[in-house]
Amino acid sequence: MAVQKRSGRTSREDIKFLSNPNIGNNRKKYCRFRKYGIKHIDYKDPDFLLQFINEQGKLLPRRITGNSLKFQRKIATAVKRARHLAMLPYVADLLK
Amino acid sequence: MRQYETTFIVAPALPDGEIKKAVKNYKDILEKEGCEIVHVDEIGLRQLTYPIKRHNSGIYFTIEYKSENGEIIDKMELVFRRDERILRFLSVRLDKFGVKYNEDKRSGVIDKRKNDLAAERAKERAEQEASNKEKRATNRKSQKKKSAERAKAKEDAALAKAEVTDAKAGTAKTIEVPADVAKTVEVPADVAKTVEVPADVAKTVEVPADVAKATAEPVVETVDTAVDVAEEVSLDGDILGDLTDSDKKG
Repeated sequence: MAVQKRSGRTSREDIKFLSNPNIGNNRKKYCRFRKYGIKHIDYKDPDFLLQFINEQGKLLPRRITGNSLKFQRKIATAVKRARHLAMLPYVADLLK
Repeated sequence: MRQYETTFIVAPALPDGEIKKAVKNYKDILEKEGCEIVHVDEIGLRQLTYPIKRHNSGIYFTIEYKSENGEIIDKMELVFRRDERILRFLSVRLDKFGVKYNEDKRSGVIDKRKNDLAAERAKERAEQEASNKEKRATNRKSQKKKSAERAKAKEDAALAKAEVTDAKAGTAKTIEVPADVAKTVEVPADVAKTVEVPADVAKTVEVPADVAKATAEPVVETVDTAVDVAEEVSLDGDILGDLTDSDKKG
């Protein structure tokens, strides 16, 4: 009996090791503007805005960045202004 | 009074005087209309991310000013459009946070905070990485231990097997064990010597695992060191579990 119990545990541990141990403990997303109290988003700061666009220069969804709706809108306008001023590309490849 | 901000790009291939003249021209236009100029910021030469009017770089300027209403912006933008030297322009009204942001930026608070934030984020990341590393290390350690155990068990099994085959022929009853389980059977050397099994019989007979337990126990009982052997010989399908189990005891 005891042997069976132990053998069961061993095999489960083995499976656990074979898979990525970091899968499953997702960290909760948060809006960094709310957390750090950033009130204004500068369109003249392309390095900062780079965090919110993907490799093709497209805006990342809130689903991924975790921004609140209010700041996602502000990010969107800031990115569009930066594009107009040629600080960010309209179309790109391998931006990052 | 509302605060506005106009950013524009001047073509880079102009003589220095020309650029300064252009900036001064717009400043004059604003001042003539009764605007209060807060700050003129020269961002400087920057690479454009896409060519504008066949230019690949441009000199960026930002003028912050206060105006009663936005009428001046239309007038100024008309001048911008007519100006060959200007590649792009953008006028924006600043809300109170924007005003504060620009003030902070000028006094250097923003850069400091930015650095702080970056440091904080880097620290967070480092912490996470450290914890991950630790986890991985412990995992690796346990794996290493396990594999070491396994190796040791295999060695023991081989040794035991060798002893069994060396034993005198035909003096005792046979222990019948299926081939795959036989590897896991660990018998201490001294005990193994007391169990006397003819080599050829042990090899040839094959019994399924569940039956093996039933058959093995009575056989073992006939030997004097029955209890020890019974404990050591763990007859289960799962090899790994048996190995770790018996190793812990050993």
